[in-house]
Amino acid sequence: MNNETTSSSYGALFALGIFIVASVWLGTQAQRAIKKGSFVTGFFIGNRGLGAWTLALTATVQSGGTFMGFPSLAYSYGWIVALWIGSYMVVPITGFGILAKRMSQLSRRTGAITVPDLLRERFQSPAIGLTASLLIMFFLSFMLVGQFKAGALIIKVAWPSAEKKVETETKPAVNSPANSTPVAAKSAASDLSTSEKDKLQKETAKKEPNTKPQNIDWMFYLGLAIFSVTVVGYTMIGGFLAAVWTDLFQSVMMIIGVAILFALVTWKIGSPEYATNFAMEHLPKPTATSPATANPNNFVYGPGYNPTGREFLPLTFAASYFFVWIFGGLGAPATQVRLMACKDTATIRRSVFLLSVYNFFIYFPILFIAIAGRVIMPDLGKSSDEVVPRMAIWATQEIPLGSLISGLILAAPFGAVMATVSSYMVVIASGVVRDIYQGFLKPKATAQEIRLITNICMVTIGVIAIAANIQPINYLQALVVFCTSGGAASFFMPAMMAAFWRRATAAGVLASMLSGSATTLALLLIGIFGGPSFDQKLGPETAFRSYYFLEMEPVVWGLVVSAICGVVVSLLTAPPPESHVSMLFDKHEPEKAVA
Amino acid sequence: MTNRGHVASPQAELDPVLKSSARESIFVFLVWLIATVYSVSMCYWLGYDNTRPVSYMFGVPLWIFWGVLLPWVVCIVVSWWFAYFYMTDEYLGDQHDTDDLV
Repeated sequence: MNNETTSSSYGALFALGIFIVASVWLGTQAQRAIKKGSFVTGFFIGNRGLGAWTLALTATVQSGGTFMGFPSLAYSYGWIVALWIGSYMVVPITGFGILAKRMSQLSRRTGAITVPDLLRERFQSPAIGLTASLLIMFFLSFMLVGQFKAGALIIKVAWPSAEKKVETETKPAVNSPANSTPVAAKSAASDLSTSEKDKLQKETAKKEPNTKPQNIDWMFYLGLAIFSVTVVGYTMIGGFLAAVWTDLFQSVMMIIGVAILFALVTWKIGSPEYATNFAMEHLPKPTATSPATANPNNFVYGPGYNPTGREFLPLTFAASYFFVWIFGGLGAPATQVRLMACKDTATIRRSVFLLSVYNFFIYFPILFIAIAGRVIMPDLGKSSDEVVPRMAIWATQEIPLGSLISGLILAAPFGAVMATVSSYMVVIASGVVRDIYQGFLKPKATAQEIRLITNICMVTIGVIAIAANIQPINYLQALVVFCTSGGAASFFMPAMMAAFWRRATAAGVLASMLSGSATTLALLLIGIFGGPSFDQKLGPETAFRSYYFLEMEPVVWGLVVSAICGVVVSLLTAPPPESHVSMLFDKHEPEKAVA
Repeated sequence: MTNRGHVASPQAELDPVLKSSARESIFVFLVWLIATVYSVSMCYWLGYDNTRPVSYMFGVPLWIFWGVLLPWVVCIVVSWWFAYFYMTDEYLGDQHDTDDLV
């Protein structure tokens, strides 16, 4: 590696540092805004002042999964991942069009500032509030562990010494394409003789970088430490508003970063069609004994490419992802609390359209970048979560101010991860403070005491997430999917019952929450501990997998069980007091208007 | 919980936010259902046979174009229409200071 490359990599780190400083600064500004109102309402729900851009770009599920987990799957299994993520076409309209108005209205009428608050007040049951809080903490913890891994990986890749590794690892596969003009690259690639291609494949196969025993990855742990201190720090300072403001800032950085990277990758490699054909040509040739999924055509077709025979996305499994992302978005407590915090219905309406456009311009470019990653780095193996950060470093290596631009691009995934972590930490901390500390330990706690408990809670979350990442799992998207599915199965039906069904009872909602979460968890435990006989060879190749009954994601069964239990138990128990229900379901006039 | 600044109407009339929200939810569920059935069916029809020659449209595999890309664009248009012509504006209520719950 020459000096120019080394020094330019410091530019990437510098740009990322600026981004981190800007995020912390926003946290301090958020703290000032909180001081204008009451601490609890300000810290946990931002005084219900979210506008359309803020709501649209922060209320849904862009996360480390979007920039690292999802591309990792596309890199490994090919274009089939487009169908896997396809339901995002309706995420904006479902996310804001079903529950937003009622959640927002009910939270105002009850004075609720968290999802457990809302359920507790709606059903007049502290047990529901506590159960909801505990379930939120449980499921979001999985998500946080995955996000901390993603944040650490980005800093690791951006670190100067890490860039050397990127360059080294990409060389054999890149051969001429990475180091020449696009025209020359295409020409060189197509000019490779069959023997040269075979030689290239053999060299690639020989490397097997992830099958060898590895030393301690100090760069990963350094990244983990920097990421943790930053994100825990600014969230402690500014609470919900810090999470939302930085989320908005980071969402803007995401679209800029993705646009730049997409343009650079297209310029350097060519069209998606070219990248796909090139990748397919260089996949190992199947033998007579190879499974059907080892056919290179599976890099384009379903159920996806896999040399070991694992089917990534058979049809029923694909259909179930139209439940995962939709109901996961609707049931996610971090989404629901933002709906509660929105300013008015015009905000909700505009958010539907804004997010529709935003999602389109995020997911398709990332998909292409990941497919192109297969051309540049065909042997990432278990490091495939790093494909987008590595592509950012690679794509900017030979352009003026390249390392600064790579830092700008890396800010996109880093921002997504930081935004997710900060918002989830606020949700977890609010649950601890409202439903455990205030609910059971000290109902008359002062604002200062609440602040102290909140800070302790956030630091504890950070420490646990760091500890859980000492041995990080493969495919962080597995954690994202489990957390999303668990949230959906636990909270979607209760939220629907709270918003639309007068007859719903506290016992019914409790049954709905517990049965939905228990179903999802049981299927996960069967998948993990059931042994080889319960490994159906579906989905990503990771030990953290569920048992997919009838080849469907657990969320489908969780939702079914949750709905049945919620309805049956509600009908079997005494109806709620009509006076209470009337206050939440019937038309009311403001007192001043009546007077 | 107290009735925070609101009094019930003499006749129990359904809340307008509840009514509009329920109406819009039904529409949204239909959009989700149609998108799911169309997308999964189209992808299965065109995208699960690896013996077919690989063909592309606008740089993406043909089955992705018909099964994911095109319906995604249609959903953006539907979302725009829903947001600006179907979903109604309602008064959500006043914000009440939550510290009095402490």
